[in-house]
Amino acid sequence: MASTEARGATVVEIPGIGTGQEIGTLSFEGSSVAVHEGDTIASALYRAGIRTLSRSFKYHRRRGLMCVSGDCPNCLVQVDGETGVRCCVRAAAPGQSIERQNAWPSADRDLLALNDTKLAHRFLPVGFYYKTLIKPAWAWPKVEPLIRKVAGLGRVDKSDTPRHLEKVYRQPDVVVLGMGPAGLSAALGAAEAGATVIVADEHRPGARLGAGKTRDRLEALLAEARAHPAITLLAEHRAFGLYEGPEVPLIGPDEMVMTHPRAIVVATGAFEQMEIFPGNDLIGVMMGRGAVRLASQHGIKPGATAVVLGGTHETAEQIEALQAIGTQIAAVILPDGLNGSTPIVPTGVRTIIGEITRAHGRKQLEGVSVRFTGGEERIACDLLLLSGGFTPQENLLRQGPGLPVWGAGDVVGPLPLEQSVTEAREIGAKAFRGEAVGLPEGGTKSKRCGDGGFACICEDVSVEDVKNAVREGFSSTELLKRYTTITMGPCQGRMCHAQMRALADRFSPGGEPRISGVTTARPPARQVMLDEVTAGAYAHLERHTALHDVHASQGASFLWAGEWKRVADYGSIETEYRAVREGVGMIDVGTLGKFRLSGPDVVEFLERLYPNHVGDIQPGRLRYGLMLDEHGVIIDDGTICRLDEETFYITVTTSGAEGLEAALLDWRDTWGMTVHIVNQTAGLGAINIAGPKAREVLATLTDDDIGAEAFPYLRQREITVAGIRCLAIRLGFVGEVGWELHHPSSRSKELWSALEEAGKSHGITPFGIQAQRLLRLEKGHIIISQDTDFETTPWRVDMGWAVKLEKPWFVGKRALVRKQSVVTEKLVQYTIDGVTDAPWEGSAVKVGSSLVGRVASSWYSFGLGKAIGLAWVQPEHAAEGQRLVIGKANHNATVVKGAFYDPEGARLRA
Amino acid sequence: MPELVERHDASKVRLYGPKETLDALTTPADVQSGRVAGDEVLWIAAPGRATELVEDARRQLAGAGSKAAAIDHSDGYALFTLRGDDAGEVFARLSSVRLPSEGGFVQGQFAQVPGRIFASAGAIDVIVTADVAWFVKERLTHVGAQHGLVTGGTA
Repeated sequence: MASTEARGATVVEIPGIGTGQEIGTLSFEGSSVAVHEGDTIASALYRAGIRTLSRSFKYHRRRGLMCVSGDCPNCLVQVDGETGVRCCVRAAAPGQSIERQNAWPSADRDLLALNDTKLAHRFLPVGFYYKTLIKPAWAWPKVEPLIRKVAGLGRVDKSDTPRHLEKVYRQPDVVVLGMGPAGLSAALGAAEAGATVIVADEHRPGARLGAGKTRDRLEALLAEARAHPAITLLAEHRAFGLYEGPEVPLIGPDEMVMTHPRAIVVATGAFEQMEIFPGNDLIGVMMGRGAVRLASQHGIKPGATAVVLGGTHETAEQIEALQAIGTQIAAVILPDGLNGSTPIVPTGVRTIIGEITRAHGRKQLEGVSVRFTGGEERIACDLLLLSGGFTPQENLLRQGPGLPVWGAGDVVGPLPLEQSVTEAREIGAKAFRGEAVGLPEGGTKSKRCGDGGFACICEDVSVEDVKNAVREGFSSTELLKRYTTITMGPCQGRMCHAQMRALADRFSPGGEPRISGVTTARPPARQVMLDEVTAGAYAHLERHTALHDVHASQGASFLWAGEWKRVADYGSIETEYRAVREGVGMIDVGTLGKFRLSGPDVVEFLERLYPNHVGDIQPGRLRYGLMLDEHGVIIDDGTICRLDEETFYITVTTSGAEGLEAALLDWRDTWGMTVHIVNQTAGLGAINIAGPKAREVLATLTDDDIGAEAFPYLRQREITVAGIRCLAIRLGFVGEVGWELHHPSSRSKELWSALEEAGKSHGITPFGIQAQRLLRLEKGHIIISQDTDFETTPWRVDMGWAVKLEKPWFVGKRALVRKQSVVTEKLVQYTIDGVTDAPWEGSAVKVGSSLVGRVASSWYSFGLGKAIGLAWVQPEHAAEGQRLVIGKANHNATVVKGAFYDPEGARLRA
Repeated sequence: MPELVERHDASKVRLYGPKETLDALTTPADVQSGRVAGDEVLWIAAPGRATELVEDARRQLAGAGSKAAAIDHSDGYALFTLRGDDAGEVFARLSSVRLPSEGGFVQGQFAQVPGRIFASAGAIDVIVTADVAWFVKERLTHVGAQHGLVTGGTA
C-alpha cells in the first residue's frame, strides 16, 4: 500500500550556542554590520550598538529589543523587501539588507514623533478616527491618504514576485505544537501509546536556551524523539491556527504542511509578563529571558547596570547569567505579596520589596523609580529586567473549543521541569487515547497594573486610553478590544491580554469582574504571508476541451470562460462573422454543460426544475429552458432534449455545469426521486456548424436525411457524421441554419478535421466566441451572467414566454409571482447609428443628464454597419423609440424591439 | 523513484441503480469497482472492455428496470496511476485524502478537482474528469519533480 503517512524523524538539532566567530556583514540602512555565527538579525544589530529597532504604531516612540522571543512587536523590520520581520528570531545572514519601518524620514530622526507630545495626545485619543474625521465630509478623502501613508508597517515591494509554495498533507494521529521539553514529552507519550506524531515548532528546538539543566534535558528528550520511528519533527514550522476538521496548517520555510490529526497537543509554553508603569516601553526595558538570551546565546552584554523586577523561579538564574557577562545588578525589586514564593536572590545583591512606579529616560532607559514601604527611590540603570511572572502562550490553545485539543507544559501552568515533563508524557498518551483532561479556563490577568504607561505596545494603547474607553461604555473586554484595538496588533494579545483584563476590572463601575472575560482567540495566531495562505493552490484551474490543441495550432487566442479556456478568435472576428452569415462556420462548443438524466421520475423532476413545460416534449424534439433559483432569478439556460420517454439530455452554459451538477443532485435527493444524473460535459464534445451553407457541408459527411423537412428547426436525433455517432441538435443561437453535433470527445479531432475538409470548398471557417457573441447579439439572444445579474428575473428580460405560471409548482415560482408586478429594471436593445466603435460594456446609460442604467453587451455589427447592444434601464425608459445617451462619448442611441437580424427567423428555420 | 502512468484509454463504466441492486452486483474479473454513492458504482478495466462491461452491467441490473442504468463513461474520465517508491509522497502533495492502509476506493479533492481514487499495493489510481486531465498532469509533474517523478510509463 502506497503510504502518505508522515515519515520517520528528520534530523532536527538544537542550534549551537553562538561562537562569536564573524562570518560576514549585513547592510543596515546602508551601514555594514558584522554578523557572527549563530546571530539573529537583532543580536547582530544589538552587538553593533543599534538600539532603536522600530517606531511605535501611533506615537512613533522609539522601541527596542524587549522579548527576544518573537512575541512582542518591537523588532519588526523590513528584510530584503519582506515587511514585518521579527528580527529577534530571524537568523542573520551576510548580505541581508535591513531597513526599519514606520518612520519618516528615518527611525533615528522621525518627524512623526511629533505625535508623541502632550498636545498631540489630546487630539489623538483612542478611537479619535471615529469622532474627529466625520465633518466636513470633503476633508476625509484628503486626510485618508495621509493617514494611510503614516500608518502601517513597512512598504510592500510591488515588483516582488510571489513565491509559489507547495502544500503537503499529513494525517498523523497526534500533532504536538511546541518542541520544548513538554512538547517532546507529550510526543513521546503519544508515540509510546501507539500514535504517529508530528511535532512542530516555529523555531529550532532550544534556539532560545542558554547552557543549563533545561537545555540538557531538552537535548536528551530530543534524542529520544529523533530515535522514535513514529515521530516526525518539524522545526521552523509555525502553526497559525487550529481549524475544524481538525486541521492544523504548519508553515515551513519552503512549504505548508497541512495536518489532519485526530488529536492536538498544545505545548507552546509561557513567556514573561509585560508590566505596566509609566515608561514601560522604553528601550532598555527587557524580558528576563530575552536579556539572558542575548548574554548566553550570543555573548552580548545586554546592559551595563540592571534593575531586576523579580518574582519567578528563573529570576536567580537570570541574575547569575547577567553577572557572568559583566552586567552590574543595581537592585532586585520583589513585588509585595509573593506569598512565600520569593525567589532566591544571589547573595550580595540588593533586594527591595516594593514596586516600580516609573521608568525614566528619553531615548532609552536611564533609571527607575521604586516605591517601597516608607519611601521611594530613583535607581540609575540602563537595563530593567522584567521577571515578575509568566503569561501562558495560549492563543492556539484558546482556539481549541470544540476541537480535540489538549494542553501540556507551561501553557497550562508553570511547573518545575521534571514534573512538567512527566505530566506532559501522560497527556500525550491521553490525547491519543482521547481521554479528557481538564483544561484551564484560559486567560490570565495581570497582577500588577500601574497608573500609567502602555497597556498595548503594538497599538500604543495607554492605560489612560483603556480608562476612557471603559468610561465611554466599552466596558466588556470584547468591546474594549474592538474600540481600542488592544490585543489586535502584531502580538495578537500575547503582551497585553492579561493587562487588558486587569484594567477592565479596575476601571469598570464597581469593579464588576463579569466584563473582563477572555476574548475569543481566532486564527491567525501569527502573521501569515499571502503566498503562504495560497500554498499549493496558486495554480489556476483550467479546463480544456478535447480540441484545445487543435485550436492552438490554428493560431487561436484564448480567453477565460469560467474555468474554461475558450477560443476568443482565430485572428479576425470580422472574417469569422462574415463566414457564418454568408457561408459556413464552425465553433467548438464542447464547453457546454451536458447532462444525461434518466429514470422513472425524470419528467416530474424536470417539470420542477424548469419554469416551462417539459412533459409534453416529444422524443426527438427539444425546447429552450431557463433555470431559476428560489428567488426566481435566472441562473442558467439551455436546451432540453427528450431522447426517449424516460431519458433526457440537457445542456447548460459553459460556466454553469459544475455548480448545476451539485444543484441537480441536491434537488433530486431533497425530493427523494429516482433520477440518474450523469454529467457528460467532459465525455462528450460538441461542434456547432452554422451558416447558409451548413447543410451542404454536413450532407457530404452523412447518409442521414438532414433536409429541411426531415430535420427541421428544434429537432434532435442521432445521426452518423464521418463515421461518428452524433446527437445532432438543430439550433440557431447565431441565427443561421445549424446543428450542434454532440459526440464522444475521444473523436472530436476526427470530426473537426472531417468538417474542415468537407467544408473547404465552401470556405468553412472556424469561429471563436467573440464572433459568436456578436452573431447572437444581432438575434437579441442573451448570455446568462453577461447580460444577467443576481436580480434578473424572466420578467426583466422579457422572457415571460419561457415561464408557465399555470404549472402547479417549479423552483422560483412563488418568487416570480410576487415579482411580476415589481420590475425595477428592463433589459433593452439599442442601436447607435453613424459610429464605427461600440461603447464599452458597462458604460453608463443616461436620459438627458440623468443616469438611468448601464450597458450589458455592446458590439459594432459588421453586417448592419452600426453599433448595437443590450442595456439595463429603468422601466420608464424601456419603450421602443426611447432616446438614450451612452458612454463617455455621449453616443445617441435608440431603443428598438425585436431581433436586429432576421427578426422573422426565416434563415435559421431554412 | 515514483512513476506516473497515463491510462486515459482505460474502460470506465458508471452503473446506477437502487442500493440493494448495486449491493448484489458481481464485479467482473480484472475490474476495479468503487462505490461512488448509494446509487452509483464505478468500474475500471483495461482499454477496449467498455462495451462488454456495459452489457454485463445491464444484464445484472435488468431486474431494476428503468431504476437502473449503465453508461460507458470512458471518454469522460482521465486515469492516472502513481506507482513506485514515493508515490504516496507525490499524492500527499495534491490531496488531503487519507488513503486506506489496506487499500480500497476513496473519493476527495485531488489537485483542486474532485478525484476518485483506487489505492492498492504499490499503486494509486486517480480518476478525474477528462477536461482537467492536462491540468492534473501539470500539477503532478510539477510537485513530483522534487521526488524524481518519471512520466510516460506504460500500464
